[in-house]
Amino acid sequence: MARLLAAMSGGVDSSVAAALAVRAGHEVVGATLKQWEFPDEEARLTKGCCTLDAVADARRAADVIGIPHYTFDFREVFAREVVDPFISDYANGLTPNPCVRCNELVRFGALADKARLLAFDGLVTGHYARVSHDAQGVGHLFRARNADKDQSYVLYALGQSALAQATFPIGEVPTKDAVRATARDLGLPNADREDSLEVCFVGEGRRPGDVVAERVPVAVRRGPIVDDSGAVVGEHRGLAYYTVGQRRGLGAIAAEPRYVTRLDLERNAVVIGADEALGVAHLEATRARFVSGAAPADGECFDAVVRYRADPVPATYVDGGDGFRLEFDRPVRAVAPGQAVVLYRNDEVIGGGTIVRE
Amino acid sequence: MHYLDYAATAPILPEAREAMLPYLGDTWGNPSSIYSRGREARKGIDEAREQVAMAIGASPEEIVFTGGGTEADNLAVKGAAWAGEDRGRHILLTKIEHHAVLDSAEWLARRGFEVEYLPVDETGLVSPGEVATRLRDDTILVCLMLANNEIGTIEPVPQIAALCRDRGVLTFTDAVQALGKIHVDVRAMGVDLAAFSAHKIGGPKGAGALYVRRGVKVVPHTHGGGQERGRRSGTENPAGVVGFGAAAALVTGELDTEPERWRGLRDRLWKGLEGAISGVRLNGHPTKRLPHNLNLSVRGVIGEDVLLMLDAKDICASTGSACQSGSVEPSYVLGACGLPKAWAQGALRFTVGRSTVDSDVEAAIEVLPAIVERVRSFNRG
Repeated sequence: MARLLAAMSGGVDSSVAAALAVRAGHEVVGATLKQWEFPDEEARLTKGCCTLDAVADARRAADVIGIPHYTFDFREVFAREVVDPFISDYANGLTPNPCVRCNELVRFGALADKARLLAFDGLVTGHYARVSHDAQGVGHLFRARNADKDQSYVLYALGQSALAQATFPIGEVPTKDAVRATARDLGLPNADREDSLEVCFVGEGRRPGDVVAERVPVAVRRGPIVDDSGAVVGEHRGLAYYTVGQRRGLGAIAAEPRYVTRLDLERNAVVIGADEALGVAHLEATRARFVSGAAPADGECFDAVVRYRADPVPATYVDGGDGFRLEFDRPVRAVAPGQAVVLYRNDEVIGGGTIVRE
Repeated sequence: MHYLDYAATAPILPEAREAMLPYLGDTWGNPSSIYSRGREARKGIDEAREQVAMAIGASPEEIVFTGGGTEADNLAVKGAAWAGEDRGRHILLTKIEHHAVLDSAEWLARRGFEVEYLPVDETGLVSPGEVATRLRDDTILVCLMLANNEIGTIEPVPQIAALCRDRGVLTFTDAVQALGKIHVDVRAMGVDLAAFSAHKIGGPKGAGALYVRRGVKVVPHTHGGGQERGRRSGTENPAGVVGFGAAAALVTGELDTEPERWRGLRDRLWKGLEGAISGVRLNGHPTKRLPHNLNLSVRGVIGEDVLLMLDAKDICASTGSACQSGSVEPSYVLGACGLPKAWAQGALRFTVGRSTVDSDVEAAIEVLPAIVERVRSFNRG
């Protein structure tokens, strides 16, 4: 039996995760992180995570499970480690994945530190991923049993000390229905709550570009949409509303489908092209993190995932100091600078990095 | 459990509970009904009104029962502002008032009133001179708490009320934290309005009172059956009010003995902690403070971390004020006193009371130094 701190967002996954940890015989205390405050009052009360409703749901779930519950004010660290970099990345024409930083620096950063301080043995979260330790005590990170919900992609930056602390009970549950069924069995009030948004602080019905426009208006200016030849073919709303590979929102520009191939920060231009122009034969990544702590050898082959929920593609690894380079067997579409690229071997996460602009 | 958070709430007094029980049983009548069932309930409320009036040096008809201290604060600030808006729209208050006062004033400021803040010194004290220079012909209300909820500083309310009286300006004091801890005499203080809460003195939650000096007008917020002389309509809460009356009578009867005992416990706690922890300071005023309140800051820690570790040892204390979601925020009171953030974030409040005994204080002295050391070593690492 261990003493575990369960991060509870108020959603069904993290509530069931806490309950499963209790069922497994652990002493569990729930904690909800107040990470963010929506600017308008209505959203602050009800919409999505970090709202009073979400905190109340988490507290009620903890009551039903029969564990103590705390609320921690994490607004400062969340703003510093997640929101501010997210905004500056978008303002720089990148497409960041804030969940990667949140898991590395907030969940398994500041919260893990707090758990250690309070003499907890580890953290329970509602992530769809699996952890196991081999005979030598080395931690390994795997995709969830439920492939549709797998979140191992956003956890690639967790290193050995994080994995030693992590318990992901939901990663072993085969379906979302099974999670909900467990929630109903336990009598959890949030058993049928809708799944949360991918980016918790953007808000319902809003896009990342809206958040960037509020915070850094000068970074979100209208500008030209240009084709490969440089000819202006339309107008865009601001680079933060576009990402490489995007097809929607470009207007009726040409007879054949057109995609965003590049965001040109210097000219504040969205560059578009045909499907063929989207493919790249290689990419460079920075901020490399490897689960084992050691970089792979040059020439090793992996399955690379270049954005959340993308299909894995075969790639050859080449070391590059702080980062690495991947050579693809076949051209890969929609490689967006700022996104995470994650390396898998079968279902195991080897590591990853942040895609840089070439 | 070692309960050292009497400023948050106090355990309900057995005498208050006993007094309430009939009103949760056979005496269930509506106090406004003319038949005996109703008259019995009315009698309970009348007696409680006398008890509360006696406890604060007022006349019974000057007591308006409310649903708690926050409602009393709201009724005082908004009610007096609305009643006086023909004469002026200027309101003075400190930044260390309870949020029930601060937020009421800010709400008024968004509706055309002019709200001006009185500076406080590093101990939280307001100087009468600062009030005198700010009083204007269109000033209608000065709000100054009798004692602060976080740092326990006792304000010079009588001097300031005298200044206001000379200028025809109303004085409101939030006396929620002071009642039962120091002698509170509204007439001697010369205030026009004063707010009180039952649960801070061992009465039930959901009951409070506003003292409204005879002749002072407050515009009501709640309209209806005209209860509480039209100042707070709605069927009364006999059980709550009776519990409040019983608690008020009991704690004011002990004012010559209990506070001295608390002072001894509080001073013992401070000496014990001051001697065992380096980098610690006392917040608030060294002498002009509530006898049961200790507020200190520990350098190099976040108060919340210490609280959680105290909780694990079954010791109940507090930092600043808890926000709605239950997370702990840095103290706005210490900020207003000019305390740097490095100190303010390490603030801890211990408040003792009627059931506190030596072993409660000794428990805190025993565990806190090690907790501070652990938090500091983590923050360094």
